[in-house]
Amino acid sequence: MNKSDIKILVVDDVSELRAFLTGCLKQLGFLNVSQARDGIDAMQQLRKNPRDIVFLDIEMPKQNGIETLKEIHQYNPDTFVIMLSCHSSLDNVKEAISNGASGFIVKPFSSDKVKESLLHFTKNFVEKRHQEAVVKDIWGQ
Amino acid sequence: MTDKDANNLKIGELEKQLEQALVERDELNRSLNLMSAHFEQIINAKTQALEEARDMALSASKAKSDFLSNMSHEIRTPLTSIIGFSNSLSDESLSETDINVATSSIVRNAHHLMNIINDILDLAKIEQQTFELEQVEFDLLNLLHEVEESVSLQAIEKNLWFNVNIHFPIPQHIICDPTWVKQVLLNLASNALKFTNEGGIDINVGYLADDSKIAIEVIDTGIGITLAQQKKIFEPFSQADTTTTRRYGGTGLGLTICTKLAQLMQGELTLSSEPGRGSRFSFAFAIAPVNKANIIDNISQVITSHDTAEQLPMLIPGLRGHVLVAEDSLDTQNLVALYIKKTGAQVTFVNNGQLAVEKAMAETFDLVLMDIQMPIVDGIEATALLRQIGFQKPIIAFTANAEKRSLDNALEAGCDGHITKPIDQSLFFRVLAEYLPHGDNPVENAGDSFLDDEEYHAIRRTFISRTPKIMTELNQTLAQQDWQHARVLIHTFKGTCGSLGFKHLYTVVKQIEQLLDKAIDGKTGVDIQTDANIQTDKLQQEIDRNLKAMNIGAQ
Repeated sequence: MNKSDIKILVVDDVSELRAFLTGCLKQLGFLNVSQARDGIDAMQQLRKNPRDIVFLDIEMPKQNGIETLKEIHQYNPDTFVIMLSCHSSLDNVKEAISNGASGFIVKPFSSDKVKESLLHFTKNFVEKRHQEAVVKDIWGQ
Repeated sequence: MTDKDANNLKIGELEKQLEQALVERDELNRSLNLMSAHFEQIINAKTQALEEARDMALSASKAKSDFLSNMSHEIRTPLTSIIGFSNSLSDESLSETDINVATSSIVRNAHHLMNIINDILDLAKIEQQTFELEQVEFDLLNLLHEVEESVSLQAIEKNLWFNVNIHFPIPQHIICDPTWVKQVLLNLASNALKFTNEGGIDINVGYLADDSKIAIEVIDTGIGITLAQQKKIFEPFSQADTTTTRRYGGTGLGLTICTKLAQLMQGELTLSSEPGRGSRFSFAFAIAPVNKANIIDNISQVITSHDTAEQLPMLIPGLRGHVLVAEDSLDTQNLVALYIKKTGAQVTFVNNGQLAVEKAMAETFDLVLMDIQMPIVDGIEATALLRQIGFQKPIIAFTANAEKRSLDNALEAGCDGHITKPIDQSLFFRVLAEYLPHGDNPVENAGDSFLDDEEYHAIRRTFISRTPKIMTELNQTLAQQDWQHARVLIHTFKGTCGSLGFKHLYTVVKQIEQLLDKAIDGKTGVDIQTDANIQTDKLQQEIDRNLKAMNIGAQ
């Protein structure tokens, strides 16, 4: 799978942050990136066109990130959701994980953290594919 | 008689025999069944007994291996400091402060190590069949004074009260074994200290003339002990639970030693406690009859003070990068600081696993050294959490427990490797060199690779040109004292400032955010409006400076 095949959605109510993150992703070779300004916008886009990765801000107006996270997973449990937040407290992290988040980036962040989360995705993604292949081998006989 | 009759007779007889045989067979079957049920019962009972014996052996063996594992940790921790600091003393480039820290750490840890070994030896001694108590005359008040002196130092360090209350009349000179009486008191007092974080400790001493016994109570306002735990803690090698060892340290032998000694002194050790309120240990021991002239009636109380150990300064110039060290022992922190600073890398310490997770996420580190036995959240859980949320940097387990099981747990949780205490200096440097970037030039912000990127600059510029508008909105909400709204604004602003690398702006905005938090919490004694005006002036200045630097006209 090519980097540019991976579909990414960036959800944040701050346009500068969306632009910054999109910039980071493009520089890392992830070109298929779109943006949403809030949870409702995000869900509308995801229903039409599912994404592999969603960067999802927690502190957003209308519908916060955790609510959106739950909705995303109801709709498509395989989505790799990376939360963005200004709060790094352990409780927040645990809440995100318990609701199915696969990553957590604390604002402000450097491109290094974005790179880390993409590495995390790649590792998980490949592992999952590998597991599926093994399962198919066993049941295919 | 015809042949037929004869045959019939024979058949009848055969039938009878057959019937008899069937009856016998049934009887045999019945007794066989009875016997097999009986055997089954015996086998079941034996199996159960064997299972019980096996479980007991397993549990005893587990207690023993848990104990050994704890001992290993308890002994290796002070050893780490002793060996590490001793090695560091041969380094001629050490400053006087470094040498002082090193020598005082060596002395302190050597004493601690001696105490642990003494505990083990004491228990071994007491458990010998041939063990006998001495019967000598000694000054009880003097002994209490010694106990008070040694315990009060530690109480002051923990900000706890500590009183020895003597209930007169009491015999000054008694006949018993002073060494072991003191040992029991010190054990009980140091336990009380260990498990008390607020309030203090009272030791009440009285004389039971009728029984010819001295009764001592050690009362604390500590965490207390549940009924279930109360049964367990007198058993050797077991504290209230294994997390207790992790959080409070100790050998788990103290109360075992005390109970045995109390029995040997024809007395007893009892406990009453309420979780969350505190504990009361009552220790009574028999003394030889005393003459009336010996019984006295006066009061003494002494408290002395003590200075705590100083921190090491930190330098920067071989390796680069930033190491996060999660370690709750100050001595180990000092030692690690000494090592890392030699390489030129930066180091940040946190005292527990929770802070390790929070710190590792909020900042950029090249390497994490994670102690495994830590309070609140241990190293294993912290590592697992970090890996779960995608933390990709190397994590090296840092542990005093050299067992393979510990290493396996650490690797399973997501650690890349393992450094065992006592720290081997050359191994430690090898590990640092493997994971940290090399070079002579220290880099202030290694994570920011976007500083020369045009697109990045354009985004920064757009943001700064928009700040006057944000400022206007902020000023409006502050004038209306709409703290909630102002906080939402400032919060978003702060995140963007930080992400786009406006460090000064970020700092000022963060201060405003803290001020707003106070306003929202309704903190009294803070003039929010005045403070807010001062802070927003600073913010305006910083925005103007950035606008000017980027050559953007005020809008």
